[in-house]
Amino acid sequence: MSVLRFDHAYVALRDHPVLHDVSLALTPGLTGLIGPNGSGKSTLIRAAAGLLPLQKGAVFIQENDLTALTLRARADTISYLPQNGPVHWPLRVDELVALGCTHLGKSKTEIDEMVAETLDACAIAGFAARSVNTLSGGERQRVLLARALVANTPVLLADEPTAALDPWQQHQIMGLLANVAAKGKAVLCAVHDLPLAARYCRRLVLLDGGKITDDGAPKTVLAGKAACNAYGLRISAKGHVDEKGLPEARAHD
Amino acid sequence: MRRATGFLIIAALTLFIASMLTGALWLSPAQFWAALWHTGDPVHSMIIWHIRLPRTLLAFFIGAGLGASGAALQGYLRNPLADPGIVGISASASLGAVAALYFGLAAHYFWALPLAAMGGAGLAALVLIRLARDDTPVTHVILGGVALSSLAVSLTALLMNLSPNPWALSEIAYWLMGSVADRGFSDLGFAVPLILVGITLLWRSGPALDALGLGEDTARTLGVSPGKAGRLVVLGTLCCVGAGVAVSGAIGFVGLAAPHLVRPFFGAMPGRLILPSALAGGCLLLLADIVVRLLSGPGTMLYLGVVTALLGAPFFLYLIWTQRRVWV
Repeated sequence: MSVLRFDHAYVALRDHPVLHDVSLALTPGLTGLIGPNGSGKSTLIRAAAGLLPLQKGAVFIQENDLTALTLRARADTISYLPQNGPVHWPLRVDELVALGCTHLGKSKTEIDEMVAETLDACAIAGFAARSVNTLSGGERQRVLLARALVANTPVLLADEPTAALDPWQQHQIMGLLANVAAKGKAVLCAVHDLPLAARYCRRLVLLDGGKITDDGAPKTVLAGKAACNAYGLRISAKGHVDEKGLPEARAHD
Repeated sequence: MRRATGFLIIAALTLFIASMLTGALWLSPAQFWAALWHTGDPVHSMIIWHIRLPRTLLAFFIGAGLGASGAALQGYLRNPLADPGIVGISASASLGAVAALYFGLAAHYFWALPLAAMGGAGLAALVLIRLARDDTPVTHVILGGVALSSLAVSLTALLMNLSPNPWALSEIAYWLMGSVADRGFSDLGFAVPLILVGITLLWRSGPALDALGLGEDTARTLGVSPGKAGRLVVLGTLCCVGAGVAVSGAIGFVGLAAPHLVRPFFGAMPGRLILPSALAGGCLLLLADIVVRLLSGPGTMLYLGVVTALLGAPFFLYLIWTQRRVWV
C-alpha cells in the first residue's frame, strides 16, 4: 500500500498550469524528485503537504483524501522541510526542534526525550543550547531537518534540503535522509545534484514541464532519454554529465 | 525563567504599593494599611478606595493588555517592531472616542465614549479579521493595518480640524494624550474583564505563534491555521487595546517595549512572552503613572501618554542598544 499517492493531479498557480496529470505512488524508502528548474518539483511537494489546492485529481495519504483530513491529522502523518525555511526568531536549537512535536500534545518530559533522541540522530546534540542564528548553513539545515524528523511521521517531504551546502554537508543531509528512509519512512526529496541523487535514492521520479516523464531505479532514469530531454544534457547512470554528448538545444525547447 | 517571573511579580506588587502611597498627599505604609481597613483617617480611606485603587488597578491592567498585545502582535507579524499601533486598532479606538467627544455624546452619556472607542476598534478588527485568512500573507495584514491606522489618524485630525471651539479641541487633544487620573470603579468594571478576556485569547494563540516563527507553510504542516491564529490575535488585541483606549486614551510604547524587556529572560519564543509581557507592561504603566504623579503639581498636569513616550523612547533605545546580541 502506498503511503502517499497522487491521482491525476493538476495544479495551477495564478492560472498558469504547473503540474499536469501527475500520478505517483510513494512507498517507504528515499525517493528523489529530480527535474530542471521550473519543472514543478517544489509545487508537487507543496501539494503533497496540502499547502496548494489541486485543480483536478486528488492526493491520498495512507489512502485518505488529503482534503478530508484536518490540519492536525495531516501534521500527524506528514513532515515538511521547506526550501530555505525561515526562522524568524533567534531560537535555541532544542526549542526549535521541539516545535516539530509540540502539536502532538505530549508531556514536557516526553518532548524533551524526543528532542534529545533526534538531536543525537542528527549529530547536533552539541548545538542544543546555541541560538540558531549562530549556526553555519549546513548546521542550520541539519537543525531544520531534525525539526521535521522529531515528530516521527510516516512521510517526510524535503524540498531541496541540500541546496547551497558544501559537498560534505550535502552528504551528511542525504545520509540522514537515507537512514530515516531505511527505518521504514517514505521520504520524498527534491534534489538538483544528480550524482547525490544517484548515490542515496532508491528511486528517482523525473519531472519535466510539470509532468512525470520517468520513474524508476536511479541508474535507469538518469541514463534514460527522458532525463536527456529534460536537462538538455546526456547524463551517466551515476548522474554525471557526459560532456561529449551535449545536444545543441533542449529537446523540448 | 522562574526567577524572572518572580522578579516581575515582586516588581508589580512593589509598584502597586508605591502607587498607593504616591500622590499630592503622600501616605506612609502605616497610613495606607489603616486606610485600607478603614481604621485610620477617613480622608485617607477615601483617597485609597476611591482615587488611588481604581487608578492603580487601571494602570496595571491597561499596561498588561498593551504588553500582551505587543508580544502577540510581534509573534504573529514576525516583526519585533510591531505594536498595537501598527494594526490600526489603537488609532481606530481613538477615532471612535474622539467622535464621541466631538459630537458631544460623551458629555451626556457615560458609556458613550468607551463604547464608541470599542466600536472604532471593533470596526478595525473586523477588517483585519477579514484580511487574516489562511491564504493571505501576513504582509497584507500589516499593510491593511497601516492603511486603517492612517485612515483613523487622518479622520481624527479632521474632527479636530472641524472642532467648533477651542475648548472642544483641547478636550480632544488632552484625551488623546492618555491618562488614568480620576477614573473610578465603573471604568475598572468596564475595562478589566475585557482586558482579561483579551489576554486569555492572546495566550491561547501562543502555540500557533511559536509555530508561525518557522514560516506560514511550516506552521500549516504542524497543524496550525495561520488564519485562526490571526483572528485570535486580532480579537485579543481588540479587547485589550480597545478597552484600554476606551478608558485611558492613547498610550504608546508599552506594547512595543514590554516584549523586548522580557525577551532576554524568557527566550525568543513568541508564545512564551505573552504573559511575562503582560506583567512587564503592567509594571511599566504603573511606573509611568507614578512618575506622572511625582512630576505633576498645581497647574502642571502631566499626561500618561506623554510620559510613556518620553520615558519609553530613550529606554527602548537603551534596550535595543544593550540587547543587540540577543538577536544572534
